Amino acid sequence: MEQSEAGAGPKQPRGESVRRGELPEIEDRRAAYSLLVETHESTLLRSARRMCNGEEDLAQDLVQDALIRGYQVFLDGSFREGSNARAWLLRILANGFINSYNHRKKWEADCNLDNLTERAHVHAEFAGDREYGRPEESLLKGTLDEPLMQALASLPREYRICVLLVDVEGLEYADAAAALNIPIGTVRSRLSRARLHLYKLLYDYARDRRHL
Amino acid sequence: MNPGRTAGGPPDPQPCSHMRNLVSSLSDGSIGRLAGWYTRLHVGGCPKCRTTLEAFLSLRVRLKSFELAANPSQETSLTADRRSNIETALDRIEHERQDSLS
Repeated sequence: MEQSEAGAGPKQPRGESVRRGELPEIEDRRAAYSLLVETHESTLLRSARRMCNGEEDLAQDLVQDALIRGYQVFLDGSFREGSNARAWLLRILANGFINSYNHRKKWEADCNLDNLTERAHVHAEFAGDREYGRPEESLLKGTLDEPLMQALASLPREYRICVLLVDVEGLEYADAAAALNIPIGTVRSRLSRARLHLYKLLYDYARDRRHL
Repeated sequence: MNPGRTAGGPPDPQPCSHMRNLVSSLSDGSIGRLAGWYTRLHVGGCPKCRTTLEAFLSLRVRLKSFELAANPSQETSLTADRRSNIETALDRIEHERQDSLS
């Protein structure tokens, strides 16, 4: 099922729907939106690659669709100048990521990270995940922090995207919750579980390589 | 033995079960004033949760530094065909809007 569009929208009330004579000419709106795209394109692409575990085509498609959807919302007047454009676009991107995945596979609402206590189990679970890439082959090439990328890639996607939005991109819990269409408490819970799991994976990695 | 440490001394974060979300929220500052006060009080007297907080803080620093890290071999912009697709889609959206208003 599609996520609600509310997940992609900003916090502000929608009171500026396009009506004749109420907004600047559409050319001005297009120019303003193009400026936003130009400013945040690289951020969106970088974030999309992480969401898609480094699958370049999927990441490019995700950003493309987010920017198209973003323009529709932008013309609705739901984005206000001066608000956080980066967070707004990231919310649309994350919402699109989830919707895109839901088209392929039913969302795993009750995924339980407690069961994933060993790295081997985690990797085994995602060895068959072809829709968002094979971490070992695509994600790790040339990355600056391979252990962290590997650990992130091993997380279930519901947990990974929470970490990406809050810890990496710096979104507020409320923005992440809106983007993912889940309660703030769920974001909080997923973050704490994911952080514990990430730390243990990174510690194991360092210990295995005798860095500790 | 320190409950937050394994026999060899490495950190092994195992927070009290009722404190996990609170310690996590304390590490990123998203915790409320009263809950923050309670969590800091608990962490001050609980080695397991203190170890967990230290682990979360170090992880957060690493993740934050990851924000701008990018693969130097990857492009920082969309491919030309995606850009073209976007321009086409934006034109279509505008035409549809103008049609609906006329």
